[in-house]
Amino acid sequence: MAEPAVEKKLNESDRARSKKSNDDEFGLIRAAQRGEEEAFGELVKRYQQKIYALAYSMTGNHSDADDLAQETFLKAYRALGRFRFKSKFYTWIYRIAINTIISELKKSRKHSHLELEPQWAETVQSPYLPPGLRPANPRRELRRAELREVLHRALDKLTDKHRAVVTMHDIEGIPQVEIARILSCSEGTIRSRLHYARKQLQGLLKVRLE
Amino acid sequence: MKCGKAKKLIYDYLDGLLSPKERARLTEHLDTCADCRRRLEQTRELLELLKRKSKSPQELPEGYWVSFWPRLRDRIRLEQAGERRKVFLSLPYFGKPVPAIALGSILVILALVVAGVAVLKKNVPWDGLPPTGYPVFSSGDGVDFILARAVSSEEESGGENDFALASVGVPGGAERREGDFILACADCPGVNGSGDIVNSPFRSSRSRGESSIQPGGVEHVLACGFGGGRGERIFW
Repeated sequence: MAEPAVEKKLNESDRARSKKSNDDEFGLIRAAQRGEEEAFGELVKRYQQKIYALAYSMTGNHSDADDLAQETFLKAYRALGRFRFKSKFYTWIYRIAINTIISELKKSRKHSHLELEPQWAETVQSPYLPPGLRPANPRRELRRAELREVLHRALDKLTDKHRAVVTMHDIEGIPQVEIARILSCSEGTIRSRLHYARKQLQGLLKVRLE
Repeated sequence: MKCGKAKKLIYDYLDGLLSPKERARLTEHLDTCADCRRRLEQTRELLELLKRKSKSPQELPEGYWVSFWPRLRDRIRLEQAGERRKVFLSLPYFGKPVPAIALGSILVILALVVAGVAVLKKNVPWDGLPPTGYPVFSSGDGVDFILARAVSSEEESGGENDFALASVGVPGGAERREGDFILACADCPGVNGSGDIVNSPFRSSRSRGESSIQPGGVEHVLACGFGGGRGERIFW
């Protein structure tokens, strides 16, 4: 009987923390809208890693991810005056990010995913590694490393909108309902895109996954 | 449940989106279908791979996160400065922005012209009788010049007012223009009470008689000065 009470208390504590964080964020956005540069800086610090991760997952290299993350925040700064609190700031900034990334990918088509943890295969096979650092199952690890590489290439073959959904959901772990808000479409559309993208990936990785 | 239906439900099953009833039916099918179990495992492996896909490079440049905001702030400031410049330079000039220096020069010239006109207007306020008590007449050295336009035309004055003003020291060596006359008035130290110039540098510069120069016979004072030829200007 004590467990639900503890759980309830924890939930209340989480909610209180979340409310405080939301209030803080509201204040920061308001201050940033008034032109307080450091308030905007605080918002950037809160989201920089998430936006960078999204950009990195979509482009596969640091240089592009850095450019796109910076560009996203720059656009957000320009548009901040038009943010009316109708959505969460998180949703809003992700929307800017994904639109910026997709638009840039369309323009440059530079998303080659060539930064592929290049040491992996060598590391797995290296006979010079001390026994403690050798993978428990080198063959399996090697297979996984190969799979990752193939996955990079397979992701590249998806259309931008399918890659965006699979990146946000399966790589970044953003719930479908949130992705629907970010991309301004229905949950059904997101689910359908996700299924399609996964099926494509499975098809492309079929031989490897078997 | 048939394999086709099971295949469709596998994603939702792994995403935890199935209702308890659907879940139970799928599990039941999976228990008896090796193909669907294999498909489920392959899908699970794909999702695992995606989940584990690196979200950032193995090594980010040192201090990357610390420098992220300062770099962005610099870009914002640069952009804001650019915007201010753009607003300033976006005044249309034959469809192209005017360079700042050119625009600045134009504004300065305009300001000088406006100021000059204002000064001239201030110094030449008179449009009737000549103003009395002009400092120009207070000098004992005599009047260098008074440039004015007479009310009477040359014809009316019998063509007597043919002065070469430059010879009496119009600043800047201005040439005589039609309708310009030397004003003589009672207050002028070189002019007697009836307006006759008796002791003035003008006298020598006149080519004809002075009778036609009458005090009050002036329409507009354009300039006057004194200083016995030293070129000092009282007003202009």
